[in-house]
Amino acid sequence: MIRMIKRGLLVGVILYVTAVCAHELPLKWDQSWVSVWGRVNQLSDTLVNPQNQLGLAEQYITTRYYVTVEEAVSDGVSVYAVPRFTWDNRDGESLQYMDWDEAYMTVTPHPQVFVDVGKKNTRWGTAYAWNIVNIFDPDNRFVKEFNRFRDGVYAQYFDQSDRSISAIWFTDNGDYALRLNGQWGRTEGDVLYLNRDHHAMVGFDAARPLGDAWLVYMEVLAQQGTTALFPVAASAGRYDWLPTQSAAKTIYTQQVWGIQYTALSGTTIIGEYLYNAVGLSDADYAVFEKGMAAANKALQGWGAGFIGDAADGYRFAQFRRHYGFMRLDNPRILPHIGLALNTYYSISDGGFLLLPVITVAAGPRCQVTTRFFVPIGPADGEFKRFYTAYAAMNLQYFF
Amino acid sequence: MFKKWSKGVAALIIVGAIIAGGTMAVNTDGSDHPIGSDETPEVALSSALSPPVTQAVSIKAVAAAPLATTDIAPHADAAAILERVDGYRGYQEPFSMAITVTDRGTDGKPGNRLRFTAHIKDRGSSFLQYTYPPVDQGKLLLMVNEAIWFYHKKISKPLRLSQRQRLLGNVSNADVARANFAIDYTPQVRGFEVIDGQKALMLTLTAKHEQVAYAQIIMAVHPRTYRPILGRFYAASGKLLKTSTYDSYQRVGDGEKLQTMTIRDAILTDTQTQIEYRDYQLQALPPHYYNPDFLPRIRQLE
Repeated sequence: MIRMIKRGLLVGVILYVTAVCAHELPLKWDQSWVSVWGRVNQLSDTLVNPQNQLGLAEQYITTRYYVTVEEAVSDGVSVYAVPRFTWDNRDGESLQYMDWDEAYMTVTPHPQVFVDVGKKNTRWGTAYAWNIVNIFDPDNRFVKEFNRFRDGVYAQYFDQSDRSISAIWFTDNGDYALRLNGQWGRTEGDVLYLNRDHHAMVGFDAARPLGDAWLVYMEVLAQQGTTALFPVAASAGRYDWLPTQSAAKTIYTQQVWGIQYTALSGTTIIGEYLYNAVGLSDADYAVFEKGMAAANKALQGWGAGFIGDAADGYRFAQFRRHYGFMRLDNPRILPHIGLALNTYYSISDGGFLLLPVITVAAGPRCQVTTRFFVPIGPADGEFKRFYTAYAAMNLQYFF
Repeated sequence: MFKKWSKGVAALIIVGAIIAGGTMAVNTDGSDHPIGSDETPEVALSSALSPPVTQAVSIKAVAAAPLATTDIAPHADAAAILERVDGYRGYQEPFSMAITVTDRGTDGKPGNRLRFTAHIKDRGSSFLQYTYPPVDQGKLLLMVNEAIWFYHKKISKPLRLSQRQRLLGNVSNADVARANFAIDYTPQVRGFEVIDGQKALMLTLTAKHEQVAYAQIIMAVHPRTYRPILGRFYAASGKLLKTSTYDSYQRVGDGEKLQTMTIRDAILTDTQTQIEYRDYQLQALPPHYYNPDFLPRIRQLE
């Protein structure tokens, strides 16, 4: 491990010198260095994955060096790329590779029209914990250390006031979406049409301030039928994950309702509720429980497949029907220290997931973020089943 | 049924696109020029070598200045005076400036420091780009009328904030993002006062709406030049929140602009936060830069 860190530092120095030299070039060039030390990944040695039979990594050290390059190729054409060089060590096995955080070309045929081609981050929706209308990148960003964005074509038009129209087409599987964004008085929001896996959806979101300190917001996504898999008894003592054919004509909705309060001190308090019609009902969860109990006795046979499908299909805090979320955040609770207390609550089973995040500014260029991940509550609840407690430390340096 | 409905939504969005697209033809005025192109109207007015015009105001005078009026100016046009007051912090035209906010503790030593480039479109719209410290680079603060959005790459969407919310030390978001009082406050001339041995014209600024950072501001300005001297900022309850002194001015082109001001907490009077303004430039950005949906596209403006 020490050898790997030394190698990483050596490569980092070489890259840094290269980057300093590159400052002579007419490029916009920024760099940052991120190191994450983690202990025990999600799903390892949980009730879903007893004794880590799925073989998931438990300890990891990931160091990433980001270089942000932006260049105007010609009038109306620019390139934005963030290559990242990764040194990954999981359970003693090291791996080095280079990939792209974001990499796209922007064409501006008109000053108000932007067309991006490539791998790009999209940000849609008004909610904080669950951006359900952002179906193409649904993971919760702030609980993840690193993101993966998709390749596609993004077009956006801004009018002279405060409206914009966006269209996205993903090149990998043909998913696409249209979005109209704007402000109507003090209310801002979106109307969306989305097509994922040839499945049409419509969405709507809005946010409106109440007085100076309060903000209320909501997101709704509706679809006919669902592509989600549900646990079913395939035969006596054997379970499987299958689409619910009989519900193909049912209209499913996901709804997020939230409220935000900002105090004079800089503290922000956010409360959110998610209703997730495509999640497991209490009856479905009972089948899942039976399936887990049976699968654990048949790990050498079909059981591993059932557990593997559960792990693959699991979406963080969108497994059941009802969830709550609370966040208290103050980026400068002390002169150099920020604190965010995030809590997910699975209303269906009474389980909690605590995610405190402490950020320490160690000088103007260095930031250390420590994140804890602590599931508490009933042992048969979702969070306890899928997660064990772990901590991750993130050291970030900006050159 | 659902398919028809979803197709209807898609059609609505497309119709919206067509309607909005119809405005493109008329949106080709000067503001459409790409940033940094030769056609961008940009006039550098800052004069770094000009000595600051300093005015001395004691802390004591701010904290305990009496409000007994010694004279009344019955013919004074309060709105016109406030226009002149605002003129010391900016222009009628779109402009940009560099802002440094330094928090000083009770010992007066510099503590946390933030630097921004502020782009002001008009009285209601402005945005700040964090330029220092490096860990904060890429953060943006957009203010449109009474609404403020904070954007950072790490968060999933622009986050709505409050005008009153503390930015650093004693300074709120509005103290930095808003370059004028006229849009949010109705002025009234109170009369004259003697502050630190100098005669000052006193103005009362009353909030026009409840989203504004302060319910009332009492401001002392120079009786002839209307240069701000000090301000007292009150909550809706009447409680004094903070005070400010306008410490120095600088020559910019043919006029004077504010260079430094100091904001002190009304209770912890030993703590002070200094705001420094420099590099005033007339600079117009396209209107959509002040759209919250555009924030993720703003990276480094030069």
